[in-house]
Order: sequence, then C-alpha cells, then structure tokens
Amino acid sequence: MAGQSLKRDPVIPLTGSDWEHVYEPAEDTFLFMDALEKELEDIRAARPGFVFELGCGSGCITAFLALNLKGPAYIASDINPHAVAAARRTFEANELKIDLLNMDLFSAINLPSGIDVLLFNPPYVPTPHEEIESSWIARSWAGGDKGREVVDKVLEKIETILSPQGRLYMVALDSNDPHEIAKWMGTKGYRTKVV
Amino acid sequence: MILLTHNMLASPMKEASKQLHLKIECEEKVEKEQEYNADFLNRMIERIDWNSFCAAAQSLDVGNGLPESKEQVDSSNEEQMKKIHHALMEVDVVKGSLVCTETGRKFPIAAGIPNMLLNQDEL
Ligand SMILES: C[S@@+](CC[C@H](N)C(=O)[O-])C[C@H]1O[C@@H](n2cnc3c(N)ncnc32)[C@H](O)[C@@H]1O
Repeated sequence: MAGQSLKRDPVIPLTGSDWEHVYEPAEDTFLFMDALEKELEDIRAARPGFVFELGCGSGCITAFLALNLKGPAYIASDINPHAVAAARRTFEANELKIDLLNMDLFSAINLPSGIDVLLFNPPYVPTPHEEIESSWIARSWAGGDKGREVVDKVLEKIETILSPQGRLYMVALDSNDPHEIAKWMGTKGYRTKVV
Repeated sequence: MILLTHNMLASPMKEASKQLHLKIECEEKVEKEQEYNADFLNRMIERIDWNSFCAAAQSLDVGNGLPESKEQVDSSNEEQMKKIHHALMEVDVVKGSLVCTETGRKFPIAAGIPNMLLNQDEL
C-alpha cells in the first residue's frame, strides 16, 4: 500500500540500448529486492562488514540494499564488462560510493575473513552448456545443465567465500532443485530457508 | 577502486599463489570524502592485511603517519584513525593497473573498475 513502506527504491539511469548487453531488471530482480526488504532487520542485526553482490548486472539490487542499509562496505562484481559499466552509472545516480570488479566469479578474491552477506541472482535457466559462453547477455541467464553450472561453481567452495556467520541470498527455480542445494549447504554447516 | 577493495584482491593467474596482494600502478586517483565511522573502521582494521594496506597506501602517497603494525593502532587516537580512514576509504584509483608480482601480468583499472578477467589462453 502506498505510503506504508519506508524503503527507498534506486534510480536506474539506464535505457533501451543498455539492455542489449546488460540484464534488464526483471521479475526475479524484483522478487530478490522484496526478499531483502523482508530480511532487512535481520541483516542489520547481524552487523555485516562486507556485502558482496556477484553478477550485479544493472547494479539495482546492491543499490537497493545500500540505500536501505547503511553501515557495511558494499562491493559488486560481474563478468560482463557492459554490466559493471552500467552498474557504475546506477551507483552514481544514487550517490552511492560502491566499488565494482569486472571478474569471473571469485577468481581474484582473497579475503580470509570471508564475505558476510553474498547476494547472487545467478544465470539459472537450464540450457545446453555451450550457450553459457555464447554472448555477454547470454551469460545473464544461461545456466547450463539444470541451470546449475554457474551456481554449483559458487556452492562448491562456499565455505571459502562466506564468513562463518555469513549469509548467501540466492534466486533458485524449481528446475534448479533447491532441495538439493539446501542439502549441500547443510553438509557445509549452513542453514537454509526460503524467503 | 579504494584500498579496502584492493586488500581483498589477489592475482587470478593460475601460476600465482593467491596469497600475495597486487601491486598498484596508479595513473590517476581522486580523493573523496567518506563519512567517518569509528566502529566500522575498527572492525575493518581487524580484517585487513595490514602490510599490504601500508604498502598500497605508500604507493599512493597516503602512507605517511600510518602505524607500522596492527598492534600499534590506537583506536583512541582520532588523528591516527582519520589517517587510516582516509587511506583505506577515501582514495579512489580511477586509472592505472594492478600488477601480479609473480607473473608480471597487468590488470587494467579504467573508470575506477579493475578488469580481473583472464584471456582465453590464460585460463
Ligand atoms: C540473472 S542476471 C542478474 C543481474 C542483476 N543482479 C539483477 O538481478 O537484475 C545474472 C548476472 O550474473 C552475471 N554472471 C554470469 N556468470 C558470471 C560469472 N561467472 N562471474 C560473474 N558474474 C557472472 C551475468 O553477467 C549477469 O549480470
């Protein structure tokens, strides 16, 4: 209902031609932000130091959280050079000082104490493996086998990425087999819930 | 790229040990005021690699007056804390390179964004 929420939505200064190479915020993006809004007080209470978004695309998820939760250091990354350039414009439009990295997954990260909050709206659509590397924009949705190829690379070594009390917020479809993901996280000592 | 971000980076080259930090070759930097939050800064100091931070700060000419080790950080000394805050949070390398000291590979920084992607033949 209008006027009930105190949340601030980010300004997205991107237009038509930007979306040729950068994932345009879609239903999954908005569901992700709704979930973060629900979790906001919980996240605040955990007093995170580092919040990292993997695959930031337009940057709107990180911008949303940074506008509504001051305190932590935010860093956002994407493998797609067009995406990090677009996210830079989004952060500037919202007067946010957030560093960006053009990087494949965590290939250049060395943070022994770990990330406190990891945000990931991954490429989750089941596709043939070859499709993943077919273009920059394909990387935003093409998830290979079961839509899990990119996700699994992250989950495989999640304990080396997250801090001991760290949280991962991630979008998953039924076709990605979220139960199996939860089981996997369980073997690594993490609890899982659906937001 | 600010030094807090630099502190969590290592070379992605497969020959590299992943332990060493990257050397900064700065061609252009800007200094921007960021809100000073003592509690946040104290928690970050605990988590960063101090030697790498000091070396990086020296290379950007903002290392003067930084304590030589974490043990020498005195959180009640506001002047010292503000220097740390400045070097860690307020100096933004907008153009230059990050150099892998083990292989010599340079990763360019443009518009403030490090490009850490490897070429096909480096994968
Ligand atoms: C579904 S889009 C989400 C974009 C944005 N976060 C949003 O919610 O609107 C997935 C993003 O992950 C990025 N991505 C895919 N593979 C990646 C990888 N290996 N490393 C980093 N980012 C990757 C894509 O470029 C794309 O921007």
